[in-house]
Amino acid sequence: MRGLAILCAAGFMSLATPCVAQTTAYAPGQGSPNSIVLSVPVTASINNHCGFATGAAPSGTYTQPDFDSSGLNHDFNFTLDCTLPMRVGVVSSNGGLQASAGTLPSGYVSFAPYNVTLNLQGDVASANATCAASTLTTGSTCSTFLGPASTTQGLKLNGASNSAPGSYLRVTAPAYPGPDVLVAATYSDTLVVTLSASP
Amino acid sequence: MKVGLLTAALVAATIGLAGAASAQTTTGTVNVVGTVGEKCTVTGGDSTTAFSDTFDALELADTDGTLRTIAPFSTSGSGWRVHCTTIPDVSITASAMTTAGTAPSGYANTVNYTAYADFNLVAGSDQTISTPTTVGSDGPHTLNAHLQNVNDNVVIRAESFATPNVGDILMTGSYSGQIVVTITP
Repeated sequence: MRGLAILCAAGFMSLATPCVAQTTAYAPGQGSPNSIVLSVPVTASINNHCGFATGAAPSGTYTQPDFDSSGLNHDFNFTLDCTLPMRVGVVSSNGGLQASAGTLPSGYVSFAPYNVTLNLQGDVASANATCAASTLTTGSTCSTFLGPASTTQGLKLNGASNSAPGSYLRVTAPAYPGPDVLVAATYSDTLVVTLSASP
Repeated sequence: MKVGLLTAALVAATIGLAGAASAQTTTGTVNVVGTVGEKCTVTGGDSTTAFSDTFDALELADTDGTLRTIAPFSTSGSGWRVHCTTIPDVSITASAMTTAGTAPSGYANTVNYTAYADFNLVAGSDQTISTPTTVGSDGPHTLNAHLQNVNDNVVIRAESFATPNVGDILMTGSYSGQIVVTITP
């Protein structure tokens, strides 16, 4: 008769909990029970995370020559990697395209408005909103996605986005309508995009 | 043989510990840059870069055949508005009104005049450039300031019409000349 040795089977776990004898199995004819069933639940999970996909945060520079006559139209694509509902906010440094042109006479300007559209694409859900850049300066009035993002502020994507394609930050403007004249110069603005989990 | 059994009541450390994401935010930054080049355009003209007008002096001769008194001509009220993104350079050329053929002594087939271009500026008084058709051109000159951003900020005029010699009798024909004002950003 051969005895059956059952050892503590927890090699894949790192816990140092000591194994404790709880019952005894007997060889056939030597008693009962003759076997013991060990049940070891094996489960796991991935911690929630929320951010831009690696290497796919909004970034880059869009340069448009003669935007006063051609307007603006450009998408900054990015990828969300967030296992929870989230919010994304945008803050504009200048609230429009601003040039350093000093004091200008009446009828001439060195500031041009444009619009910002934020599109968030989740695995299932999506969200989209547009605000004038002038309403995206810190503390301004864009009610949908003025940043910085927090659990309560910013455009909400009500679902996860596991690197779903299709999210973008779009800047647009028609040809400058006047009647003021934009002086010859280089104009610029910086948009800071922040993302926060918003369970 | 009795064998002691050990049970394993272990729980993986990660099981059931799927915590919420922290409140940290992640950030991306993009830059939007646009340029406005040095350029001039016009509204109310023939195109975005050209404007024109025609002055018809009608009959040039008086009853005795000499040049009659011709009132000054001006484009004021035309509604042109020149938009320049910088302070421009300006110049003017003008050619006399002439008709074909050769004029014998005591006769003329040419009517001279003096052409002007007045520029309404944002600072100071208007700036004027001019040239007699006997000279033909003036400029380029850089304006002293930006053009006032209003209608009729550039006005072209002509006056002091005269034949080469006082008392010349004008030859029959159709007379034409041209004034060209060039505005360069």
